[in-house]
Amino acid sequence: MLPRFGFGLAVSLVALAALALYGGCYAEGAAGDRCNPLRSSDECNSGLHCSGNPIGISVAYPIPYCPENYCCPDPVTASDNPNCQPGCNGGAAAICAAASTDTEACDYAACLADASDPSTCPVPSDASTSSDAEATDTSTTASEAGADVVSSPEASPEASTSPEAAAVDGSTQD
Amino acid sequence: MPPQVGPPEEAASEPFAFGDFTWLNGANRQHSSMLDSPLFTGSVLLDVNYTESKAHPIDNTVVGSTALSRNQEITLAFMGFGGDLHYKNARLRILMQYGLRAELVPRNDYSSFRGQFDLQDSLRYISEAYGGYHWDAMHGINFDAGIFMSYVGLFSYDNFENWMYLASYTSDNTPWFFNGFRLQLFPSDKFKFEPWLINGWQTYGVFNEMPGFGYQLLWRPVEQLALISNGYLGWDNQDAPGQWRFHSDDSALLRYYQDRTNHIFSKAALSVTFDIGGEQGDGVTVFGGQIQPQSMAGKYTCNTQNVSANNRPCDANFVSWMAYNRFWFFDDILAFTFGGGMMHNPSRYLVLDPSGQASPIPQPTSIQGVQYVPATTPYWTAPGSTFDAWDYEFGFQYMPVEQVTYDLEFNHRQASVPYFNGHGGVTSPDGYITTSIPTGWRPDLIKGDTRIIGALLVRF
Repeated sequence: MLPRFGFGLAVSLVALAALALYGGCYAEGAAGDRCNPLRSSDECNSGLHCSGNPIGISVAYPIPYCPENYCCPDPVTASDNPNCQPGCNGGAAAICAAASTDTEACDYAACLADASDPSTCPVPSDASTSSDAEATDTSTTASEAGADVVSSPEASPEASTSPEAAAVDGSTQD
Repeated sequence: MPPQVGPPEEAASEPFAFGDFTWLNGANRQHSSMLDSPLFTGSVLLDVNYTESKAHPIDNTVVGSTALSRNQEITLAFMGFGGDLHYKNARLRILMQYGLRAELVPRNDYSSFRGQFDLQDSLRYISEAYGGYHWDAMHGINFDAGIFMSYVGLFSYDNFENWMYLASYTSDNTPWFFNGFRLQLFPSDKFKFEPWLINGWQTYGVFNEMPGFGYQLLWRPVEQLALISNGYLGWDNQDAPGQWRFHSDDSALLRYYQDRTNHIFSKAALSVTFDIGGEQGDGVTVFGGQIQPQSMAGKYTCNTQNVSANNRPCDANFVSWMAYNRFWFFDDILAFTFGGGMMHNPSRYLVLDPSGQASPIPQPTSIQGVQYVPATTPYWTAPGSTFDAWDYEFGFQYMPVEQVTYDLEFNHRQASVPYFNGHGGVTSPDGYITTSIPTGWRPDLIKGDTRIIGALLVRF
């Protein structure tokens, strides 16, 4: 019995050590990686800041027309990660797809799609607040509004399997 | 003159009782049940896991699995209890299920969106529930009705029976249960033929006008070899009564080494599984159709007719394989398994849809009453879409007694398109469903998923 117990203890220790070692091997925090702007501390690597949609700690580091948050340097140069550039690599198009009335985001997305040099696309000075201003708040209310949207035809499985569904540049793109 | 008495009639031998098949992947390794009695054989199962993803998603969510659900959390994946009632030739099996798998598996059944009365809420806590009758003909005939386990994909729904905790796509993306009738015919003690009449491909309900049909052929000619073939034909897409699905799932298992006198290296076995399937009709075709990237969405049509390059049937097929090898050590107390597989599934009809803001289907209200915000950039599952993936894994299982398994394994999965959960998660900017979602916010889907898994499995 004792050898079997000892063997089991050894296996358990190896398992715990493996989990602990692996648990410390997170790879996020580099430039262009996603980050949590609402954390009490910045999770980005040294010299980078959680930037993008201006909420939480990202308020100080907004990226125009960007609905998400990424680890980025400050200031950002044209050679930095695409996720750190205005429109954050498809963010403007995603905002436009979600809210086609946001003409500024749609114009900017169209400009990015057509321009050979993205820096030629003008960024209005107040663009950084664009996506935040229209943030949906139905998630906090369990409201009837959310239920209505869920039952709409656009949200049905049928719609999702249609090849006519609008393409959106972004992280879910093939 | 006394009546002439012939030789006593021999009872037909029990199927598959001629050998010890506890080595099989997807079969119970216990030699006997501790909760057995003449009328009732009880079953109690517990499955607790812990997994760490290299991406460390901020919403602690796993995408693309029916075995894993939460990252960085100790998770009660499955707690089942029930058993078999058997009296004379009547039989009844009930196994309830609680834990995350009661959510993970039913969520992939979209037939429950048809009509009224919530099929998912009604049935999600039932893992198996079927009853029937046994005839003492041939080597046995059973006829059952209810919810029963699917054999497609080799691995068992009960992870205690599997060589690895996280199965490759061929198993993870194929059905775990069926709802309907089944007939089990045992013409010999080495062979079973089992046809099914079921509602559909892992569905509680029926999608169109026709039920699904399937079968299993199981042949174990000797103790060292098992051959399994499963087949399916059904109509499993919403509003597409002319679109039929077929699937063939074939496995071979071989125990190529066993030496009971060797107390260090006692056994070795392998399993190989190959699947092929497809969908035909209503705009899709099994092979030879068009396959398009998401950037082509809105610029092509899956047409029944062959009109042009971008206006013709779309490819919808499933081709996959997986292979595993297992070594047993120290009188079967420790086992090491390695393996992996690949999957090709244009039109993504068997891809497990991501959840949260990547879900292409409506999400339910959370248990706390919070309404999920409909996704604005859901995962793309249109006919003609592309999906290729592969994985490899290895791990140890420590089995101090027949009732307990400790599992530790490493797994890497890779897909041709962003699919797995990245650090940003699929829920909201900070990973909580109560946090507002900015307009246009995109879930963080990535192409690779590397993780380590630990699990404790107990079965009585």
